Amino acid sequence: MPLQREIEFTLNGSRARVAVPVTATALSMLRDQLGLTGTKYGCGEGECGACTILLDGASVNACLLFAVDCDGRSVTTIEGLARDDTAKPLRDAFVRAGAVQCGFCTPGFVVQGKFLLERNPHPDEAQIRRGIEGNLCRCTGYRKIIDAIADAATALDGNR
Amino acid sequence: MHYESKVEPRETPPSPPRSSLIGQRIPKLDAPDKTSGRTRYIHDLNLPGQLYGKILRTDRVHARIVSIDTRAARALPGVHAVLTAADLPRRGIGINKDNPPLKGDKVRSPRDEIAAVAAESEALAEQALRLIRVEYEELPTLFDPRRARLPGAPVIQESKPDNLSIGFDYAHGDVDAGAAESDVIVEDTYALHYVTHCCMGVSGIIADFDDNSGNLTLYSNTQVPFLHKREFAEVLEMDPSRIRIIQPPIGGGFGSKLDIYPFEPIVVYLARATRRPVKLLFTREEEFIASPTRQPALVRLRSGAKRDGTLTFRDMDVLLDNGAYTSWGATIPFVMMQTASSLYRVPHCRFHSAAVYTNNPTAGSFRGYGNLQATFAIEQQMDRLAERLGLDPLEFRLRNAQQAGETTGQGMHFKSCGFRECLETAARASDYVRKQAEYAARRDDAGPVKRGIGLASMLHVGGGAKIYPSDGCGTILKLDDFGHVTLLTGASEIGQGSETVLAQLVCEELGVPMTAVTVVNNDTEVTPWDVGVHASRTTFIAGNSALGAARLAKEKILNAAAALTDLEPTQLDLTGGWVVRRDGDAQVMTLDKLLRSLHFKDKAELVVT
Repeated sequence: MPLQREIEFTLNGSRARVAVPVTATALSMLRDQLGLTGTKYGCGEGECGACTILLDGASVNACLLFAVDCDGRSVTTIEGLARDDTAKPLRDAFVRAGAVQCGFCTPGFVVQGKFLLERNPHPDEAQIRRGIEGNLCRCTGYRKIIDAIADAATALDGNR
Repeated sequence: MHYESKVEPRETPPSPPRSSLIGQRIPKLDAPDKTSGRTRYIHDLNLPGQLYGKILRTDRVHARIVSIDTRAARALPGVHAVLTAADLPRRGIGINKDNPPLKGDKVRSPRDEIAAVAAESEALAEQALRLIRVEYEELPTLFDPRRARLPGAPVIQESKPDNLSIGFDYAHGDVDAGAAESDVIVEDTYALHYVTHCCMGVSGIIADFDDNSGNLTLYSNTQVPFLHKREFAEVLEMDPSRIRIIQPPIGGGFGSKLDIYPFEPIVVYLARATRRPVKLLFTREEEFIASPTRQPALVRLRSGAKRDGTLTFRDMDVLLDNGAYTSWGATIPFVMMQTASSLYRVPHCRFHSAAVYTNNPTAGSFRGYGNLQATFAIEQQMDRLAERLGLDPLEFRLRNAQQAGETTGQGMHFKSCGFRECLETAARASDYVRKQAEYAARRDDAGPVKRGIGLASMLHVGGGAKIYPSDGCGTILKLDDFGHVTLLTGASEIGQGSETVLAQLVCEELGVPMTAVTVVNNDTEVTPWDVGVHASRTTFIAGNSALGAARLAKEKILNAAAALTDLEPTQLDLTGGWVVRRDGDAQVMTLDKLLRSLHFKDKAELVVT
């Protein structure tokens, strides 16, 4: 059994305390230890973005992050955004735009979309494309995902 | 049947305006869960007592297995089973039955499965794999499909000494006569490369035996659950009725999940050996190594035309790299030959294909199913022919495009056909004619930047390709006494939206909102038979099945409502959750109230799907 360490962090707004193997990734901690399976394993090497989470508000690949590096920080996963009213217009936009097919990449895209719109509430199409370049989708061809994020920006504007 | 009283039609409240679900943009039923991380894919499922499976793959290309020593792996604490070919029946999977799940005599490609482990954790299973020692004797290798059928080529499958996996031949007319009347003949060879499906969700399966009954439950990402029941039964020498396949939502398929793969029976054997549920997931690296590819193809194409732009013949010879084992993918020439014979008017056609064994990665079925390879070659050559004839490529295509009412040499009848309109619309929207002429004229200009514009057409089957001896899909509708509809369909949801379109059809027919339906489509023990999700068939085949079931249900409902009133069934309709009068939509009674009045009053019915 590898060496373990106990860490404490904010997870989707609640305090979490977990003993994690020092070799474990944040992805395996979330999925295998905490049962938060919305964050997906797609490649394990930071290429596909299916495991995108927010760490202190910044989007990162959970597969490239050591679990111990979550200590003292704030982690938001798709399950957190699912309960977050400020993220609802974004999720609704994905549904409305038909940006969801097999859906395996979708949680990563929603988290990345949230990060993108927090940083830049009025992105143009080029900025959206740039913003999601770390996330792969094999079904949609991206067009509707781009539309969904643009649509969400408009909807969020109306809410402000 | 008799009822206590007749119910009078109600005049108030006024009925809402009749609204139709058809033509509406209906959000996919599965999308809210998928956008909130609630959807549970195979990767997210675990069973109590579950062990983890891992497969040892060879690092050789073509080699005889001299010995496998698994003693150290077996001795590792936490390892519950180590299997090699010696533990399994000698039986191959796939359409040529040429792929034993674990290889015993020799390996034929650098992904071949030679041993499998079930252990308490993935890490332990991996550790056990590293303890397995395999001794090999190298064999000569075959990488170039063009060499496969030459004398002296290494034999990949001993039962197929000529290295031919599957060949197809087709002809109509007389190609030589077509060539004789041609003013222009062009011949080229087109090389199409490997492509991988690269589904976002890696491959995986969970096998779980019920120790008491011997029944097997598989959690599987297959696109063809009912065909797989039969195939698993054959491989495992089990009664198919003892196999239940549950399909969690699929993280991408694109044709890759039509076949049964060695990892699937391997996991079942591990579950059987350990009497515990066993789960296996590929790593992404393993997904690239061990899942199938599109067939690389060498397409030699020769075709001719008369000076006026009439196509005269097409002669296509296709060499497919099958890899070391044969999948459904080897039957893609069925589709390629349709493109050869029927994309544009082709008076004379000859088609020959050979899928040959090599030591390369095993090819599988992939969306388009051969059409991409064939269309690429044909449309390239259409441009070359147009150039030789001095014709505009659009004009050349329009002269040979079929119209409604025509039947192709292969017997495909076009009842309706928008081929010419499609070409003309695309050309207009892209300003094709001007750009094509302008870019062609500037092709030899100096400078590194060249521009081009291309035009291609495609012909593809849809709505039930009948690649399996029978096609069809069953539907069962259950209406509860609150007016809620459970739609049980054999059709698999693979992200394409089938559950939504089926629900839409049923709700429209029964006059209930989309919120009044639950779709059950993922359990062979519950759902009626379906051939599988492929060939753009689901909306047409499963859709008509769902519509048929909904019409039957509606007929029964209206008959029952008529019996409660002094109205004829033909005077009644369903809308907005109400039985209404067909003329004017006056509300007669709510659907749920009517259904409650029917508890066990209808004749019992035998349901056969």
